[in-house]
Amino acid sequence: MNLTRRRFVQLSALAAATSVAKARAGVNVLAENDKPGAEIKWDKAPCRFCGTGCHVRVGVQEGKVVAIQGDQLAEVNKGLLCVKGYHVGAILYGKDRLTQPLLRKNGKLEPISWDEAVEVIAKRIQANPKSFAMYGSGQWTIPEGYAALKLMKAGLSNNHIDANARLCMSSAVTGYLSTYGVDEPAGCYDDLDQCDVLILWGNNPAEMHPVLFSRVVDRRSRGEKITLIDMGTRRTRTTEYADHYMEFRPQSDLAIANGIAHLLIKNGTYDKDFVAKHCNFRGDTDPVSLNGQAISFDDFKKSLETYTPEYVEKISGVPAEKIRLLADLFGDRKLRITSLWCMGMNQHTRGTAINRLVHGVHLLSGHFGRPGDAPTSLTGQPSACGTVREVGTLSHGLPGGRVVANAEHRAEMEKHWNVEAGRIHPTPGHHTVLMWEKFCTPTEQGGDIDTVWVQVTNPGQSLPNLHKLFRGKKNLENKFLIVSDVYPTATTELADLILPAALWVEKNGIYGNSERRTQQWFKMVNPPGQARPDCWMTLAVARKLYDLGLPGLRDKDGKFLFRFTDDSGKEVPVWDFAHYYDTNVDRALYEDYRPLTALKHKNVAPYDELIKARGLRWPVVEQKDGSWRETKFRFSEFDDPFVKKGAEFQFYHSVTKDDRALIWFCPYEPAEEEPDKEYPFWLCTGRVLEHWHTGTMTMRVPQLNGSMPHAYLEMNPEDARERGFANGEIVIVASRRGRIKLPVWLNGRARPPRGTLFVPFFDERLLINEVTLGAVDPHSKEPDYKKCSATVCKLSEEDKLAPLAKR
Amino acid sequence: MSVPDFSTHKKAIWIAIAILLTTSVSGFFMGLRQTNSEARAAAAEEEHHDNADSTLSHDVPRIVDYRGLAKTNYKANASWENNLGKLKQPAADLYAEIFPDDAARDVAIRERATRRAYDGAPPVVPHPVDQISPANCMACHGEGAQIKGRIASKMSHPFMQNCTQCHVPVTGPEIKLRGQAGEALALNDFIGFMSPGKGTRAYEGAPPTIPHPTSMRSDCMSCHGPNGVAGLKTSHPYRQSCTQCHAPSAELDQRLFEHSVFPPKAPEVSGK
Repeated sequence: MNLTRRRFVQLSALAAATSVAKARAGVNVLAENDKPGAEIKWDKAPCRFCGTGCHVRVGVQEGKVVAIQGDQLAEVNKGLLCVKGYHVGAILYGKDRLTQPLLRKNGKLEPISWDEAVEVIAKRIQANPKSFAMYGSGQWTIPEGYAALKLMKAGLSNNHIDANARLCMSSAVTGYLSTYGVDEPAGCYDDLDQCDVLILWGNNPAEMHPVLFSRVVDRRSRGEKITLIDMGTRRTRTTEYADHYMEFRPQSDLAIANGIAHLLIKNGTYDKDFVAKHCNFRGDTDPVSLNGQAISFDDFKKSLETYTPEYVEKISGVPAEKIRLLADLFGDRKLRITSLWCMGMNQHTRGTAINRLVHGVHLLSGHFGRPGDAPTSLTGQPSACGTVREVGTLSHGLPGGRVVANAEHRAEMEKHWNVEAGRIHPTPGHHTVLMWEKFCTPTEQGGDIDTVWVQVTNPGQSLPNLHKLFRGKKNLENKFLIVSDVYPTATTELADLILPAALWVEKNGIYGNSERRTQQWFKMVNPPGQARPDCWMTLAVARKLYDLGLPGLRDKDGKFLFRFTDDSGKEVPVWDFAHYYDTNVDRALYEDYRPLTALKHKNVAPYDELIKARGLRWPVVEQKDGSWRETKFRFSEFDDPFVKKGAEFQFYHSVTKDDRALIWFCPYEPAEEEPDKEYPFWLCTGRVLEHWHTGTMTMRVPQLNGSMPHAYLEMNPEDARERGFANGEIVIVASRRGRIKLPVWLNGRARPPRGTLFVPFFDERLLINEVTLGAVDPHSKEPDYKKCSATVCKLSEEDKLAPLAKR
Repeated sequence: MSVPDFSTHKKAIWIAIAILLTTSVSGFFMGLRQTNSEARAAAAEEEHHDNADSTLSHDVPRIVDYRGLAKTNYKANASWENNLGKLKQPAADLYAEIFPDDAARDVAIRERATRRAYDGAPPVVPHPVDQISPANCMACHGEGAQIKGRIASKMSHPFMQNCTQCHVPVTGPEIKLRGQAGEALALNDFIGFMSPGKGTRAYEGAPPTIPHPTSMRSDCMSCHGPNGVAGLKTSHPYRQSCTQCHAPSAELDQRLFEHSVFPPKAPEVSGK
């Protein structure tokens, strides 16, 4: 054999490298015979990950998901997915799936039966129903969220139910509510096909909403011109496609929005006709309130006087001529302008205010309600809109846009659920941050939550200021944490009871995406071991409480609060898992919920229509011929069936009850915590393309893990050089609240300006939320994860850091 | 070939072995000592630089010893430009004789499988990428390139702008977190459907149908052309209109009426 030793070494090295690469690529043993075995059965489902709501085709062979395709019939993604979506099938098959209930006994988790687990929970609740809380997420399916909400608010007269969507989009909600009087965007993704100008307010869709981003930038391949404006606090992949990049100082987005409004008025380029017919002006009260107080146009104008381009430049660092450029674009009514935003504007102690201002700029300039003219907030979870916002699984909420504080709303729900008047408690429960603070506080010091049941989320990683809001539970003997999940997580680490959950196409489900689209799928494969759907868990616990005699679990007629019947009207005991699938629980719960959506004209489509469609955008209204028509553009006469003829636009849930939207003035104010001498950097956190949320699913997919195996610290190379950091060196990021050690990545995924740091939060081993602040917006109670002051130092300099605040 | 008779040179061989051993052992230790002393000198030098040369321009990279290389942040300089795309490509021989070979096809399918979670999944990138800009992808993959034995396949969906949305590098970022068992998390039992097999033929000699979906795979020559994968290459690359003879599948391409938004028959609605 003509093989030199050198060549042999090269080849073996190559073989080793290839096998490593193959292992990372997640290649499994290829079947000996590549001819197809059993036929692949394809079915539709919305993707499990973000709020875009792409539809995938799921290929199932012999009871396992074996392939994924982008669904070409889906209007959202038209056949395209992102790298997470293409690999969504693999999230079901991580090696360490939870497969049986586990109870902590003497500090050790031990397997128990489902019967025991359900009894443990029910007894815990029975002992003290008022100190029980449920914490879910925008990954709850609509029926799961509805069942949990009904159990809490009607069954236990307890409003301590909240969802992690509080942490990601509640400022968008308060922005919509205080502007239009009703939640959720007026426009939809069709705006992305029509806009001439796309403005990105502090978001990075090239990584976080890639399918929507491609929907816009791929238009350029067809020769269309689209002006992309990226306003951000660091250069990202999105910036690479932008025509204009405007880098602003964190928190100063409010000044920019006010600067645009200032120029629109000064130049007389605002839409006088639209404003005169459809808008009122609004300002803050003292103290601040969600709906504020009326102000005149002159007050508004006067408040904006100081926001000259030069003043805005001074605050934000964005050159005055770029502010003028923005105002000129908005001042041109011929253009179609769409604004998109996500966590940058929402995770902000002034989140409600900046949401109002961006809506205000669109309303003031008349860039509203025509295809391509829209202010639209994106969401990060598959059903933050569908479940949390529409079903209302929040401490203050009730289904269909109702709130517990409103007596009429409570009465409507009590009637709908057939429970006696007064059953629903009128005081909102604890919002997320408060709920966890109370859970981590000793009972005798006012910690009035002693049991939390977490479903479909991972607060042990995603809450801010983790030492205070989560890890504090550790030493409190009487606190009990129940966690339903699919994999071990940072949350299950402290759990006293772990419940193995069915995931995605292992159960039936309904999600609602960012553009008001309700999407349904069927169970396609069996969950592993004893894993079961969250909805079943809730119903089983409810039934156990009924059996134990807790009065709230009975309706007015003494019947069980959750009744499911078969075609003959006979009750199906769905709480017994053997009978759970004897009827379609999803359909029954959803159809019970559906009429409740009419109050705020959010009429969701019937379940049977959803089966046939790749989602339908509400309001979905029945036509004379019996067909159902979805709505793309709300409040616009040409499309929205609820707008009265001749009105052109009608904000029919207007705060001021006169069909007008509100244009707010909200001043720029400094951030809760700004860099100082001791902590001289701004710290921002967020996601990366490959990982979704806390990475519990995506970190278990070899292709995604291989591409992004761990978190990192992103900083400006000049700042790194000043501190003598080498690329890849492990350093310390510290704030007053916590510190973590992680590698520096210079010139990596993005380019932060001097004085700023970025750390993604997907890595459960490198918990940046031990460092973040947790200060909340006064209206939405959403924490700011994008700004706090921090410092960095070499490992050898740790002793020079100021001591941490007392925990 | 004859084998030399070693028995007559026994003594000479022993001497040769002795010399060889002495040289290599002493060379090894000499080498160690030199490296150590050089390293000390370099460290001293560096210290001196740190103290004295703070006025030195920051643009001049400092010399470090080899052990320090891994810790540096050396990158291409600012005027570096990727010219791979401008490399002259050899003209493809469209008339080279190619015989379909099942064994080669099998190898090709397996090779493909190493870079995909399943047939139809976006292939992972086997090399590091520019983390922020997709422009560099196009240098090689825009038209496809062949550099020595390596083939950069031509992208089959040129209207797509955001390459890294779907294609991620398996090599990960250039920085590595050592001593953390991150990959252990990624143990996964997913088994992808790897190959749809061959297309069907109506009769011996009939053109086979296309066995896979054509969405995102609209440029047949990307895989089947002269620069494509050995074992999957067409025997007649000079023909331009592939689908003239090779029919795609309506089923695979999601063009079946019953898959449409409003199918004629309502699907089963059971709890499943």
